[in-house]
Parts: sequence; structure tokens; C-alpha cells
Amino acid sequence: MIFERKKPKVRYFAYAILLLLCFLLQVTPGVLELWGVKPILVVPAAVCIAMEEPVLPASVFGMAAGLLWDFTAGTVFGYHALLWLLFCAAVSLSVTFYLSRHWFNRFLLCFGALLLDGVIKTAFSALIWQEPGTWSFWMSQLLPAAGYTVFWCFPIGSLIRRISVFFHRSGGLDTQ
Amino acid sequence: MKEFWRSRQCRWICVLAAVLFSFMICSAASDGEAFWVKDLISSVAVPLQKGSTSLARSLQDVTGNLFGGSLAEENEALKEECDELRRRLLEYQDLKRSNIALKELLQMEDSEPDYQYVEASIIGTDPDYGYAKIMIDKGKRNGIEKRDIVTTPGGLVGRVEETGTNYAVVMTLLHPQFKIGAYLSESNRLGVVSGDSALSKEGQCRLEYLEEEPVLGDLVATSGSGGDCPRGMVIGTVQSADKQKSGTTYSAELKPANEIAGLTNVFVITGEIGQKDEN
Repeated sequence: MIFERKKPKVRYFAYAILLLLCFLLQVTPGVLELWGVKPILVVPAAVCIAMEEPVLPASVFGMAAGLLWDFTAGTVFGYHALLWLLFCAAVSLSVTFYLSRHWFNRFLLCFGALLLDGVIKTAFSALIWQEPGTWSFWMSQLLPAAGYTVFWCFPIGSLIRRISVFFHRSGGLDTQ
Repeated sequence: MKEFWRSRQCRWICVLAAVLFSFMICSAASDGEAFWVKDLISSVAVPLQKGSTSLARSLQDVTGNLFGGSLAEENEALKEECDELRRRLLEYQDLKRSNIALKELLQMEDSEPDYQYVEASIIGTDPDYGYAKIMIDKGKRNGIEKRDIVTTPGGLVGRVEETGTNYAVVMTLLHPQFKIGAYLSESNRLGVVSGDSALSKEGQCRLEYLEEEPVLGDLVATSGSGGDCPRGMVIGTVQSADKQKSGTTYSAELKPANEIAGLTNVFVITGEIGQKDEN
């Protein structure tokens, strides 16, 4: 009975631990690095959680993922947190009303999110700060990192799906 | 869907978005000081990062010993480099002796400043820029401040961009916004070393605004101009040279003295050098 009441909190705690683990793997130098490219693991974690949860928890986890990314990123603090708060809210609403939790949708949403983030950053770098070599950086670093990150959607998404099914939310989104 | 826009959840999301936007504005205005939320996160994140980095390095050492592979070749190359450096050391010592003797003869005083160093470990990299921005495990409470120079015995690594209580973010010479005055050791010509997004993938940077074409293999060192960096700190060697778009000056691709991606520890020069403002 007590466990039934505490199910959401335990589930969110499990998500938080997974998000923290993804963050550590993401920032540790040399880990999961392929030809100089590292995956941004908090992104598939946040997107897959958003696909399993109602809009407010999804947004909060998106914000948490963004805050962790901001901690080590070279952008203004709060940029990723704001972007992912809104994006994860949109993902959760999309899954509630329009999309299914198909694997293809996970990959698409994850890649789309990274592409959007990359476009914003490239626009700032190339047009506002006019940093040299921005376009080749987009091709040689950002795009490969997005592709490599999307690959990690599968293991991370599977784990999050298992956590969600195990705790068996009552009411809310339909399972598939 | 329409009900969502009128719901309490939507209002909460709007409140959170407003709070995060205010964070962004405050952070942008903080000028090198870590935002307090970031400092709060660092109290949990930095110890975890230190632990995971130590674990990763231990595992890499174990696998490196098991699968020696390229270690033998690297060992051979390092031996050759050692021999060359020993020869240069002898030449340097001879030059130093005659320099001291000449100074005594002319009754000149030595005026080299003292530098204080803080050793730090690299505990994280920027997810987007890779090794162009790195995080170290020492911060304000160790005496590190913004614009402190970061180095290794091999040469320049970069400059501190942001400091928290127990961490600092270092902009390395691979970052496109990094710039420092430099000179060529052979010709003594001045230039500016800066990062380049395209070259950073290969671990290289750029030397620009040279008045004449540099010699390939020439050593590049910091010029100390502006007073924000000691003079004579090795930056790298010239790999290739080309005329810049202006047609009047030359630029060169530099291979840094340090392989930034392979670094585990760095030294931060604290104290007076490195605190001067940009002009």
C-alpha cells in the first residue's frame, strides 16, 4: 500500500539516477569517445523520459538534463535548461495527443532536438560572433555527435521504458 | 490540447521558463564568476566527476597495459625526442652560462617574476566543443581567478574563463574565441595565436597576422604582450603556412606542444600575472 503511494517518487528517483549516470558518462574525458566525437547522453534520456511521463514531470526532467548540460557547456547558463524544458514539454504533449511511442519516433525526436540545438548554436557562432570554421565544425563535430547520440536512444530508451512499465503508472498515457 | 493551455501545468512551465530566462540574463552579466546555481550543482557534480574520471583513467591504464600495441612505437618516438632535447639542453646551458657572465660584466640585474602554480586535474569536457573547453577540479578557494594562464611543463594549454568555488572552466587554445600574442622563435616576428573550429578537430590551432611567411617546424611561443601571460611559454610548432585573405599577411597552422586531448593534469599560474584586463 505504501509502495503504491510512493511509486511515482521511486520512479522519478530511478530516472534521476539514470540522468546523473548519463551526465557522468557524457563529461568524463575519453569515455565513449569515437574519432573525437562524444555522445550527449542527457538528450536521449530526457526525450525518452518525456515520452513516458505527463507534461510537468517531463518538463522538469528536461530542465534537469539541460542544467546538467549547462554545467559543463560553454554557453550561457540556463540556455539548455530552458530549451529542454520547452522541448520535453512539447514531446510529452505530442506523445499524449498525436504520436505513438514507436522507436522511430524516439530517434526522430532525439535527432530533431539535437539538430535544433545545433542550428541555434551555429547561427550564433557564424552570424553573430563570426567565429572562423563554424560551418566545417557543424559538419565535422555537431552532426556526427547528433548521429552518435541518436544511437544511444536504444539502450537508454529501453531502460527508461522498463522502469516505466515496472512501476506501472495508473491512469495517464496509454502504453504501447 | 486546448485544456492544457489553461491548466496549472502550463502555468508552472511558464514560471519555470521565466526563472530559467532570468538565470540566463544573470549568468551573461556575471563576467567570469560562476552563477550561484552552477556553484550549487558543482558541490555535487564535481566530486562525482572526479570519481568517474579517476575510474576511467584507471581502466584506460589497465587496458593500455594489456593491449600494448602503439605504446612501443610511442616509446621509440619519445626516446628520439628525449635525445634531441638533451642535446638542446646542453646548448641552452652553455648559452645561459655565457648570458650570466655577460650580465655580470655589464652589471645588469635579473628581473624574472616569481610564479605560483596550482596543480589541477581535468574532470570534464564541453559536450559541443570537446577539448576546446575543459573543466578542472580547482577553483576560487584554491586561488584561481578568471584569465589565469593554464599550462603544463610542455607549454601553454589555455586560459581560465570561469571560476566556481571548487571548479574552473578553461578555454584552451583550440577554442575559436581564444587569442594570445605570440612570436616565432627563429625570426622573432609577432603574430596572434587563435583557435579555429575546423582545425580543433585535428587538435591544431592557427597563428595569424604574420608579416612574412614562417618557416615550417619553427617554434611559436607567447610574446607576453598585454601583460596577461608570461613571455616565452611554448605554444607549438608551425605545420603549414598560407597567405591570409587580405593578401598582405600570412597565417600558419600550429601543432600545439601539448596534445590537449591526452592531458590529465595541468598547472594554473595564479598571482599577478594573468589578472590584467583586456584592452
